[in-house]
Amino acid sequence: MKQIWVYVEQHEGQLAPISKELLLMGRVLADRLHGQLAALLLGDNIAGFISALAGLKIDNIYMIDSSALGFYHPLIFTENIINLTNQFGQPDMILFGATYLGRDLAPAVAARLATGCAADCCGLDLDEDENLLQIVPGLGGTVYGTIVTPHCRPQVATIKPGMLDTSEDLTEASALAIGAPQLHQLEAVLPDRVEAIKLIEARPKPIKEEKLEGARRIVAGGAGIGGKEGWTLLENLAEQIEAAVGATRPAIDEGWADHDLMIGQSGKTVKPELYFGIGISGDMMHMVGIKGKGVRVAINTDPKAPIFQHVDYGIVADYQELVPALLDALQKRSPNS
Amino acid sequence: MRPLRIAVCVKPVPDPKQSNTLKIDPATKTLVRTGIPLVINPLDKNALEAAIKLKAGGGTVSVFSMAPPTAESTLTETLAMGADEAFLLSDRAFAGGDTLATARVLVAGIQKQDPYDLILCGAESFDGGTAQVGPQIAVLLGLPWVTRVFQLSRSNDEQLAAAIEDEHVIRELLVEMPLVITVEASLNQPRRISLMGVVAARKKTITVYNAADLGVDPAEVGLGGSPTQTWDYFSPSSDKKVEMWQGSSQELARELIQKLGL
Amino acid sequence: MLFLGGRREAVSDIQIRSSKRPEIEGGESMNFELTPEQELIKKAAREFTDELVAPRVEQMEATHESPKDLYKAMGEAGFLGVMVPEEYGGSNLGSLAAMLIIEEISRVSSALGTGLQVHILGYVPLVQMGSEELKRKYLPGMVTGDYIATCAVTEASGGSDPTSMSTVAVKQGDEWVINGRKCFITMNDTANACCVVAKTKDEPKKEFTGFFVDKTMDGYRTGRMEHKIGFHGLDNGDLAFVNCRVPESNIIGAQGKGIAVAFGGIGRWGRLGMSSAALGVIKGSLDAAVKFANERILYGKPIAELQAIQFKIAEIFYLLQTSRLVAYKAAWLVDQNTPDAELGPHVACSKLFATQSAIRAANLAVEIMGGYGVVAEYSAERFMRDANMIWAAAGTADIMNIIMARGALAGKE
Repeated sequence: MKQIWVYVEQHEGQLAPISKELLLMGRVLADRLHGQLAALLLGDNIAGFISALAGLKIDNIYMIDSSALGFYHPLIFTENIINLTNQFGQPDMILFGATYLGRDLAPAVAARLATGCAADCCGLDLDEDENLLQIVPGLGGTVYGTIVTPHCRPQVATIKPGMLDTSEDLTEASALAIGAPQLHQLEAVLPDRVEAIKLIEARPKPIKEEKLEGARRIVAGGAGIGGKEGWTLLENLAEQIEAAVGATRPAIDEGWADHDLMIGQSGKTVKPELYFGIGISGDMMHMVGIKGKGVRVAINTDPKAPIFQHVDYGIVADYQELVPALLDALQKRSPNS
Repeated sequence: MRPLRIAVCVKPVPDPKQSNTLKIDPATKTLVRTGIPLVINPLDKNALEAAIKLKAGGGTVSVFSMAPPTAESTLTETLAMGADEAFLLSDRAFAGGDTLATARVLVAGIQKQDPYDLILCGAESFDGGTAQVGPQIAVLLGLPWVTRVFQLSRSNDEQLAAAIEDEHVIRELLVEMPLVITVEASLNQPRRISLMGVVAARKKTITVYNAADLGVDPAEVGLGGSPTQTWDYFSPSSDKKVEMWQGSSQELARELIQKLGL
Repeated sequence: MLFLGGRREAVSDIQIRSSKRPEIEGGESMNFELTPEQELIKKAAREFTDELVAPRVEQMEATHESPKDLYKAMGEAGFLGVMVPEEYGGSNLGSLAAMLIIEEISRVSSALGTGLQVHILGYVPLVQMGSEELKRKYLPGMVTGDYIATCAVTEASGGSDPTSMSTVAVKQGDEWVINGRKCFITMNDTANACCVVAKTKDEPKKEFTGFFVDKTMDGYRTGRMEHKIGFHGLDNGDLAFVNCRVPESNIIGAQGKGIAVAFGGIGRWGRLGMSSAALGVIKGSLDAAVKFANERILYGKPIAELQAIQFKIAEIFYLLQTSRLVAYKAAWLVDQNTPDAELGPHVACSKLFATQSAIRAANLAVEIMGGYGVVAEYSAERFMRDANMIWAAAGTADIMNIIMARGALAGKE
């Protein structure tokens, strides 16, 4: 019976959103493969966390609760995942979130097991031979690539947060009634040279107000904005229509916007009701971050820009003429409710 | 403090500044990649800068790169920046390798030299972006590793102070050599090449190793040695039918306000 | 399908087209490629320019002040010492390397590029003809930027007629006393050292001698400043020599060799340096024109799709190609130690052609940009003004024509 393992991350007792997505997705995959879903829980003082997994249909929980796992120590965590495969058999796949920890631990586990690891997936599927299809943006962001690990097991992958379609339909899809998960607890194992990495100090980061991810309206700018003054125009428009400001990587590289405004493969996933893409060419690295069925509008001087294939309304124009006209018209209209 | 032997893994990638011209030709469905020059992967430059700084006061910085023969000019640039020697690991058999197959080749090149105290890599490459080669090199060498370091300094003969940041926490670590570290852009500002560096590079060597020189098992490298394979590329055709609007700025503005309910 | 919706159309058989050139059978061919080292030098200059010079251009245009810290930075990058022999701390990479560096800098600031070229012109006579003592005294400082040099030949009597100069040097004991006034001297204020040519005899025949002076010497001082239409950020003006006392040991070459000193520098470097500045202006004009043409929308599409614009861009393109060929060849000839008689017409050709091409290319860029071409925010008008500054420097087009004609009439090709 195929085993699907999901590495679960938690922070201060809260299940990481990506782990929830992976557990929901893992359930669907397990059902399709007539297999079982397991959650891997590694940490210190985490026994109480199991209740956070209630309601998610999991067959097995493999837990290692130890002070040795107090912080992410690459050698120790890798050794313990390998130990789980030794104790419980190699699974068909191990899914990690594409978090700091996941992107560090997954390739290390894969190297230990001489198997393949697909990084930063934005989608998952199965083919007729029950291979995991790992969808990643490829070739400079113009296309998607399908990565497969045909001959080696387990198939290891890290998946970007917010990419998988985990609407309620998915949980409904699992009609199999299973009981409470079976808990299996192991002692931690310690590899050599544990002292090679010592934690001196840990400082929690200030919690940043998340303006972009829940925004109903977004005005996003790209390389075509051309300069800081142009960016100010964009910000004015966003303010006028009560939208959050987003950016593509080129705009951030140029210094017009902060890194946390980036929407896309290397940034945030958004689901706005209204999206304006201004001076954005529309390559996949950015477009992959825009989800949902909201209305999309693009303004670009290049009629051949790929973005025009992914929007509802397209305008070939210089934003430096159109946006001021729009701001003007917004000011003049009578306020509507 | 004792001098260090530091290895830096470097990948030539298409110039990020010109890579928005990478296109798929819609007629023939082929990737048009000609004419985009190769440069040192930006994060690898940060790694090299860190190595040159750490070695100050004796020691050796060796650059390793698995790349086609045309990468010699990229390696010369690393020598002009201040690396002492470079090793180009080049063979048709290495082509198409995934991160594990690549790590195997780099490890073979590294193991051919005297042992290193520290191995530095950029956290990820501009074109692949998997961030996997660093940890995989460490696992194959049996060394500890830390990824995405943004602060790094020498504490004493055997240890370095490193800082990393994840989604919730900033951690300060004390790490013991030998180990592998991957670095972030915020670690440092890579130095520009000077003409003095260009002249000094003339006396430095680039050694080219092929598969036979490295003694790698052909079944473990290249496309055939890669556990992961790329099965296809596709353009997701969207079900959106775009409506293109025309008109003066004023007309378009009115249309936008009306149609979108602004 | 668990993700993304929509159909999936496989892009099968991704072919990455290779740009490898086929080998030609039998024998070597003429090589038009830069060496890998030259490519690296070009890259170093390009990155320096994009990171350090580009942000300063606006300020240089506004204040006309010379960016003294950028000269120091050029010293650290090794650019200042590109033609200084290695035993004095330089990299001695030759004229073509210097040309590539100045071209890259001039693509963004031909004022700074010309500053670098004139600094080299100022110390090259020492390299070519200076005594060991003079070389050891001044060249290391030329590499670091502790000394910035210029070359003072031109006077009110005319740069094209140097033997009519009235600056004189009179021997007193083991010193020479120089009196006179040089004009249109680039970096008259920024430079603290210069190679100056003065008349040392009138009867029976005029004799001229080259002296190397520095500003620790009394009586060598900056005179009035010119207000020019271009090259903002690069000083230009008078140098006054008022009873300037110079040791005999500061004679360059030997007494009476003044004209050879001056034209060794100008003929074997200065003209190439100005050609490089011109190449940079052409490249800068092309970049500005292409960017504008791709972004400016008229009739619902970028103007780059209009043939009238395309033809102008084509002309700038071919001016760049041809100017580069002629200029690089001239630099190559210098680096091969070609004798003056062979070399002169080619250097003159490169200076004339590159300069006229720069003026034309900049004008085309202005035309392409329409109203935007003549406003300060866009670079085209700066290129136009700077291109016209090159014309008179290091020999006018008329002088270049005379040199080429003499060469052709003597059977050179």
